[in-house]
Amino acid sequence: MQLSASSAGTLLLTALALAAVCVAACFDRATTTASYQHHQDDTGRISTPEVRSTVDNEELQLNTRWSADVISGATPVAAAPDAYSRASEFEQTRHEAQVGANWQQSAEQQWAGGVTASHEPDYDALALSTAVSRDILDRHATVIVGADAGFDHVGRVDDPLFSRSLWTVGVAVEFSHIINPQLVAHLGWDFETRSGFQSNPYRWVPVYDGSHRPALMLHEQHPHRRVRNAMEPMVVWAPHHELFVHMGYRFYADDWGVRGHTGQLRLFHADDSDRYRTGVRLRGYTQNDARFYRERYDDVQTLRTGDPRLSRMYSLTAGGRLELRPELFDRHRPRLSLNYDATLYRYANYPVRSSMLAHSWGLNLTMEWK
Amino acid sequence: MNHLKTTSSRSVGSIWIWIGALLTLTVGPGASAEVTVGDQPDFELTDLDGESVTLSEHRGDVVIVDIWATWCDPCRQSMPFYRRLYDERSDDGLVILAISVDENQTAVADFRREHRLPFSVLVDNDHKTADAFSPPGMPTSYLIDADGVVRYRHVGFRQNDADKLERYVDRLLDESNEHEETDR
Amino acid sequence: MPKLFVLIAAVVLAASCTSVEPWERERLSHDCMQVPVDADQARTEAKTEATREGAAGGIQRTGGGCGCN
Repeated sequence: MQLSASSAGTLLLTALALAAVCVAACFDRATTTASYQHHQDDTGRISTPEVRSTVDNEELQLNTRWSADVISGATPVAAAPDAYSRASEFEQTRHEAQVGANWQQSAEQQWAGGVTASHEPDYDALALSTAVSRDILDRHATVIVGADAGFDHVGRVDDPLFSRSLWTVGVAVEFSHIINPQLVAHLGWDFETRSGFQSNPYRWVPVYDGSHRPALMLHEQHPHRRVRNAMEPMVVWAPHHELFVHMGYRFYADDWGVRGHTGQLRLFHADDSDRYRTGVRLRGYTQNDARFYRERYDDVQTLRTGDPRLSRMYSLTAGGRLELRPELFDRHRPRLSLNYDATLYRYANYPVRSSMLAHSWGLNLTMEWK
Repeated sequence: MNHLKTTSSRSVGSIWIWIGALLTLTVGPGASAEVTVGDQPDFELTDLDGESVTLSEHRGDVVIVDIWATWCDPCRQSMPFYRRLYDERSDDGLVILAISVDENQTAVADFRREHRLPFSVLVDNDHKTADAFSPPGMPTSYLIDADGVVRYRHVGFRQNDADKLERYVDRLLDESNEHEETDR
Repeated sequence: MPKLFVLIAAVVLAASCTSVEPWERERLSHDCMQVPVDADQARTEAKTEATREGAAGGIQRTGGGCGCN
């Protein structure tokens, strides 16, 4: 018997909901969130419905999540089709499920772990993660050490014999320190190594012979291995008991030659009665291109790419968020949130487009039971 | 090259100025001596209705002074227990003075209304009383006998702590009643 | 770069001299002081960034195939 992706998703959703109801009986508090996110830019649209459930008591929290990315490559606004990628011709759905737990071992120490699995017609992924968090210096600082490992299987919808794999191993360390009653400083470091197939199996790279017409089209070929590092200092400041400021910078470097800089500012306002919250964010990002990236390949290179993510580019994001917590029910206070982000991407040496505007918006409804 | 060296040493120098400034800003006053078992503390605060309350005016009663806040989860979890304890033992002479250290008084008023707290909720938003008591954690409750002496101090709150607190309260109430009978 | 590390280390060292008492932690305990404030929203943002930018991933790693090549 064959199970379609949508039936599998419905079954999984039902199972998760049932499990959540059964487990909720043993816990003090349960929350369920239904959300819908939508992203649209010149390359396509992604719609993501999601359901999340959490149950917890004094020591243990269990959480489950299911989401689907409904990806559509058809674009109503693109002036030119994406000549390098045939992936945009596809419409497909990606399902993702996650199960996790947090255990408060003692007043100072907490453990977390989780498993995430995703499936789409040409890509399967499985990831395991674990982290331990410990308060130190008389609860003035927190250290978090996390590790994760993932295995991805890459296929092609038009070639059942095409099969590649990708292994990912990562370690992250985060340190937070209370500077004063209004200010916390954070420093995070992240290391990740990826080994395996990291190209787009559908993407062709044109090789020119001096004229304007490509002499041949070759499959994209990225290095087999990628080692990534990121460091992120950040401060969180509450100048007033209703106003919170998050300011951070992230430096990224990998062995493909990509260096990235991200600056981000977020402001949140939570009113005294906690009936509504608002937030705005501004984010600026810039990166240089990968060592093997070329705007145009005039001869055959062992490593070649048409990935705009490896080109020289920058982006600017501005967004906002509104969260409402109306007092509709005595003990089951619902939370409704809306978010919107607009991002402008500018490409310095990507031949397909020089800029792109993306819109992301979402809606979340959370119910809490005590 | 010399120019580079000069620039570099200037930068390092400015770092040390920043470090010095930071140290000056961040090193706060040390915590004052904390109230502990055997002490006989006192305070004067106003409750949510604006009435002045002192601890010494309750001399002769068994008093629980609970330093708490709406933003502290264990504090919130302890309140249904204190409400029950007060409902069952206020006629025997138990007084509960819940000192809120919240900056946000709307949250305290909302919490008292939502949880129908029957005992006095006092406001210490400038933290003068909290500074004087210096509780080692949140919440901290002080069980004070009829003579105004701290007999037991309990830090934090978990559901398992309820029985222990209840036993201590009953012991102090028994002692207080025995005192009264002896005095007669 | 070493200067940056010296500065960060100095900030942390200086900060460790501070004593923030338990009753002074109202603002620190607010949801809006957590990083990230909303983990689910952060995951969504990180996923979008990972599908469009080369330096994304890392600390807020999304994992798995993005399906959006």
